[in-house]
Amino acid sequence: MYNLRSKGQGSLEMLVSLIGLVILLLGTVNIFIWINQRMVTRQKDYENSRISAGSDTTGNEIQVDESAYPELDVFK
Amino acid sequence: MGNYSKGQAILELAIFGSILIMLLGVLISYGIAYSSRQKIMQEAFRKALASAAVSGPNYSGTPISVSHSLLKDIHIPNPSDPFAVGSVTPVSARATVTRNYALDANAENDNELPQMRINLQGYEYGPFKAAGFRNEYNVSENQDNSDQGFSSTVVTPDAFADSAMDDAGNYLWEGNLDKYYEIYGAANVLITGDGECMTEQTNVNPETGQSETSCLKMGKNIQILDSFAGEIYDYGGAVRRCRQIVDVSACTKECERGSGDDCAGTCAKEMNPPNQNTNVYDSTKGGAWYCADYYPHPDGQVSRYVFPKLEQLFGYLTGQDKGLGLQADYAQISSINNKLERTEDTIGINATDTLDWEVNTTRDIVYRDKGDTSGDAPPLRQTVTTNVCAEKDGSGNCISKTQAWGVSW
Repeated sequence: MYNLRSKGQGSLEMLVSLIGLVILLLGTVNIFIWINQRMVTRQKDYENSRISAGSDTTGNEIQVDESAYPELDVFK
Repeated sequence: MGNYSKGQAILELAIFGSILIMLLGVLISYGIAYSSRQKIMQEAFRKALASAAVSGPNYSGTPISVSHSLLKDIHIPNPSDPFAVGSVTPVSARATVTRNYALDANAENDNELPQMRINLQGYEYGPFKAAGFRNEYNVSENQDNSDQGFSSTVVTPDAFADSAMDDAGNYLWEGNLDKYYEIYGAANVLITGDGECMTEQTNVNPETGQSETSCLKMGKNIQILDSFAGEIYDYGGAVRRCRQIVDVSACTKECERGSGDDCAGTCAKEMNPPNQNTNVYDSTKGGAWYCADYYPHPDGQVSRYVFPKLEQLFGYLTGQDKGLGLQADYAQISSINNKLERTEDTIGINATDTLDWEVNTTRDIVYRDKGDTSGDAPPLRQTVTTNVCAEKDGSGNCISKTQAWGVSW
């Protein structure tokens, strides 16, 4: 009886810890994807604004606008 | 046995959990640093592009070259910390843009000199000139420097012309200007006008029989675009330049490396002092003042010298690659004040966790006083402190970060 309860507790702990591990792993992957996408989008916007930035002779600083970029959501 | 298996699961969770959290931390810090680097490189280039467009007078096509050094202190959060307090790491980039319709043209006035701007955490410092103009007087052109017998000698103009060349057609009298061209680059040396006559010649006019005096060796006044007369430059480059000026063999080696013609002959010539024969700067002639008062290096090695003016300018800077401008060394002071208040009464428990976290980084921008033409002025230093903290208000001031929770019975 004692052994059975002990075995069940181990499985339960394992289940809880596995859920935690999966969430952590998913969060890590999501962060990685988010950073990656952000960099790709930034590079794309940068390339797209090259002509206007190079043509400007008034000294306007044309930088990539990141205000509309998606926020990080690890549970997505 | 049962106690062992209970502890095993907890231990496994603790070990693998901490490894995973560490992995998460590494990934976040790497990702943020990499992303910040990309962003700052793009920003630096666009800033240089914009500055180059407005640096010239009405963007008239004058040669304008602008360097932008951008540095930001990035907060890398630590996922294992409840407030995500982590480390602060500097990320930097530099971009140079030359906007010019005539790329082969050289700077002719102060506005056209190459410049450097330094941007620290959004605040701009400069522009600092990366080169300057230096005037020298009475530099001889390709004429006599060896007393070929024309001074106070009666010769006819035809005889003068014949004697100017040897049998192989080479000039017998070559001036010192060639050495300036070799060391500074011909494009950076501009003859601004005639100086004084350095050697006079007296001829007898065969028609009138009267003596006529003409100038055989005319001094020229020159303007040099000198990268060591600006506000920002490197120690190593300046020492190398001085060695070329004061040491014939060092000059010859550099010249041969650049496949120059008649390197030994060119380098043997004397520039305005300081030069290979005198170390005293003469303000009436206007030599390379930053090489003045040099003496052989105490270690006795060939072609090694100490240049006191440069030592004064760079003396207190550290590191092997000493250079003016934004210094690589910095002081970082990190302060954390974490206050946990907990009240427990008959209703429940309430807790408030307040964090004041701030990292101040102090850096130096060191540059030369551009008005100094003697090398005696100490370097100018601007100390800049940048600030990173947990949270800032709209005015950019650091504010406390608070977390509160409570439980009612």
